Amino acid sequence: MKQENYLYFATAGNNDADKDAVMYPASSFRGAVTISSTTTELFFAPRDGTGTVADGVLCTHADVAANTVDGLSPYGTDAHYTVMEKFAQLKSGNRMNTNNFTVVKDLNTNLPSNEGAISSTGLSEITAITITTH
Amino acid sequence: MENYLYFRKNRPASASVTLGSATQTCPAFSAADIGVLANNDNENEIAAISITSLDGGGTGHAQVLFTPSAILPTLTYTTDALAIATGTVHWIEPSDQAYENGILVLDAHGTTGGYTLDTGDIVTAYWKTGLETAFMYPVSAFKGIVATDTNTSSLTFASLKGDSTDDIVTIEHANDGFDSLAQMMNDACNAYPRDGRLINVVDGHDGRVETLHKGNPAGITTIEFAPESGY
Repeated sequence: MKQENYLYFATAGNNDADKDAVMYPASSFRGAVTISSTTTELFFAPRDGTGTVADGVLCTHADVAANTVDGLSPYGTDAHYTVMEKFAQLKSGNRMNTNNFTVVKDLNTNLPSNEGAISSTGLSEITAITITTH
Repeated sequence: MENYLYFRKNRPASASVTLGSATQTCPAFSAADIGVLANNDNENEIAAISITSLDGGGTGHAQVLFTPSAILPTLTYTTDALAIATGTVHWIEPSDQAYENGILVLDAHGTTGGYTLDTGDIVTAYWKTGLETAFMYPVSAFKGIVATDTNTSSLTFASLKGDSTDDIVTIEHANDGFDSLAQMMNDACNAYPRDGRLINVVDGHDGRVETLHKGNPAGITTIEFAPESGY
């Protein structure tokens, strides 16, 4: 059996309402794109099997650093890059001797039981998520 | 493990145009500054807009007051047009204006947040990360690269959204730069085989083009992203 990471996302809800939480196999990841200076969306193969419209996890992160002097160079901010880079690290993490459960972001801490030390609240750079599924 | 291929469009920290006549439609920004002009219309990539008045022009030019304490200023609108002094700089809210194909069209002073431009005024826009400015794909989504002319190549990726068409990344490079680009893609896909890392393939931020291969041997000048559909 081939081991694979499973990527876990949970909103601030209680995992008891539609799109409160979702988990995808790492192989379902299709890519990511910036949506605004404060949001980056991660796309996954949809769970409905049609492959026509991807599922998405919209991640909110820090805005550009305020430059109160002259407003120059807000473009160079790398908040989105940090999120992408850390996500890639999590997705690729070699978790031998674990069960490969990978928390990308958990905003409610209602983690599944028995996850022990590998559980965490995920990437600190992500402050909110919105889950879109099909 | 697989790598993740990161690209960022050409965007400057700022770019300016000078009004050749008294019109609200600004000249197009230079493609050398902001990348491909066609479909360059994501207004949320613009953090701020300033206008430097050439010769003042008295009242009737602006209907906005600026609080100069933040990069995205808190605006206080007034019903009284401001007197514009020669050489002064005023800031307007980008979301109040129109932007398409690298051309800003500003509202005139009769509209809230507007500013009536005059000949010689300098309009400066400041960029930030916005819709589709940067993107990444897993290597497994990469379908291939084709040279479309002597200085243009297209990278094809499986669609992020998964409909029938692929996503296309079009790269302008030096004449006969295809070989170097193809080699760089190969290296980006195969680097760190035991890790799975985010690889900066082409990064056009702040008016510079940085590539995985140092020194930009392919001579890449612009990068354009055409995903299957907007979202």
